[in-house]
Amino acid sequence: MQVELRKVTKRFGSVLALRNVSLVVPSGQKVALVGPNGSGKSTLIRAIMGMVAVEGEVLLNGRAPFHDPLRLANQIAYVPQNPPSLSASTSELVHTVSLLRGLKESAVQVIASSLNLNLGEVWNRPVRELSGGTKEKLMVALAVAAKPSLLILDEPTASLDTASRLRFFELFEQFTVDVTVILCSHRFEEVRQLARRVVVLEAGQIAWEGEASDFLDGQALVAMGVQGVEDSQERLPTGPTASATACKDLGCEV
Amino acid sequence: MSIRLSKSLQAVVQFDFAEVMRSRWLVFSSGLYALLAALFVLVGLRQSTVLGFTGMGRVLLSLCHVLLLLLPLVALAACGQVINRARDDGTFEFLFSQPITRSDYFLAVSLVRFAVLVLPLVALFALLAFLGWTIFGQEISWVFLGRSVVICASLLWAFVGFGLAISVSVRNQAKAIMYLLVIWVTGVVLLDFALIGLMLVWRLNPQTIFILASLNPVEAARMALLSSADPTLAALGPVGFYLVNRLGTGVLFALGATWPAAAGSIAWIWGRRQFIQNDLV
Repeated sequence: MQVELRKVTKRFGSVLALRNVSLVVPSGQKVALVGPNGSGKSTLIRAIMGMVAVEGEVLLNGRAPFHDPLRLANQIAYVPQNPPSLSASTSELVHTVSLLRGLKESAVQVIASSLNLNLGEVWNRPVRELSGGTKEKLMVALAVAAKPSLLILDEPTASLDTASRLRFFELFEQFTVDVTVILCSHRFEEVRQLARRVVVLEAGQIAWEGEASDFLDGQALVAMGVQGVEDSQERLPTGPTASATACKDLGCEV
Repeated sequence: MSIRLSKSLQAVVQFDFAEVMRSRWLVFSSGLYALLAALFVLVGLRQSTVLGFTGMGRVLLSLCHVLLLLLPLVALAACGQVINRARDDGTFEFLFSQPITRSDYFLAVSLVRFAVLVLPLVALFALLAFLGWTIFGQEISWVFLGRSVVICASLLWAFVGFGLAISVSVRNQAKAIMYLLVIWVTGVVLLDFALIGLMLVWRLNPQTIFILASLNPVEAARMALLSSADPTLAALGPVGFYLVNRLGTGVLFALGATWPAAAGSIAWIWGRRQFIQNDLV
């Protein structure tokens, strides 16, 4: 699914969360949105999903989302940074999503087990009582099982341990071959593993965009004039290390 | 398209009904109605004739009178936090990334909450009538029973609409509770005697008082219920008595049955529009 934003602006009262953002994500491309807290990443993905009203245009496959919201929503899956604190049980959640998307519950279970999550063990437990990692795995399993055309991930591995994170990266490789992916992340590792292109947001504007490899080499940071990058690159000639140091200025975790 | 719509509605109905069952609203509202009914049965059947009704008929009338004050509070409590709480706890961010339209969600939640409030009431009225017939050998007043159900359902819908409108428009949950209480207190306080008090203290025009009385869904429902049972000054109070004489019991019943539902529908339509047009999170 192609995602296009044309001069998108979003105000929350006097706060300008997005300023004239224009962006095209071609079908099948994997893009990471990077930026410090409050830079507009979450607002941007909420605008794409039609959760907030914006000035400008958001087009999915060339059409406004409200043109046929159910059909479009069926092609979009989302893994939120903070899974919902639902009193519903895991089984209810899986049942509801399966009903809405026409999925087989067993498909969700298969994906979950590939993430080392035995759904049977948490089947009757309220979602809000699950650990952060288990909730995250459940969200990922529901999203991947939906076989979306557009997958939106907000810090998808933040609560996962190392082994689960590696399994997630494997699963991602396997299931997102032709899928458009928009990733919000502060994690260097996630950007390296999941994205081919990076868009850096600062104060609601696109500050830099380019290849993920260039970003990881620190070119984005140099181009943006992030303090200390030039110095650190001089001291540390290897690009990734230099960018890793300076990337923290963008709120990234290395 | 229609299949998807019904699927979306069905999924939210199931999801919200399970939520309501977990939060024990159904148990609470059923328990409350049953408790009141038991109290009135115990007390009412032993006492002498009041308002021309005897036995189970009087029990129903007294019960309805109390319910008119209580139902708005129960409805507001059941609906007044449903939207803003879901917005705060991340439910919306997840749920609306699924193929669900906002209009389906709003409709489903409204239907579930209304059904959970009104069905136990209907069951209770039916049970009381059945008990009166089998145990006490009393004839069932189907007309009064039907009128009571219609008026109570109309009043419940009014406050379901008000509650949802508050829940959509007031994001802060503490503030929302305050507004809900103000709405309930306004509805309950602006009854006959308080209105007369207002007229005397502020020297309001009687016409203003009659309009205020008619506009208050609780008072409109109360007048409709009592006028169909016993349209006397003692029962209705001065405002209600004036109106029943001016308008007639039929019109007063029609007003009590339709105005609360209409007011609730106006609030519901406004709330739905806000919910669809404004930011979800």
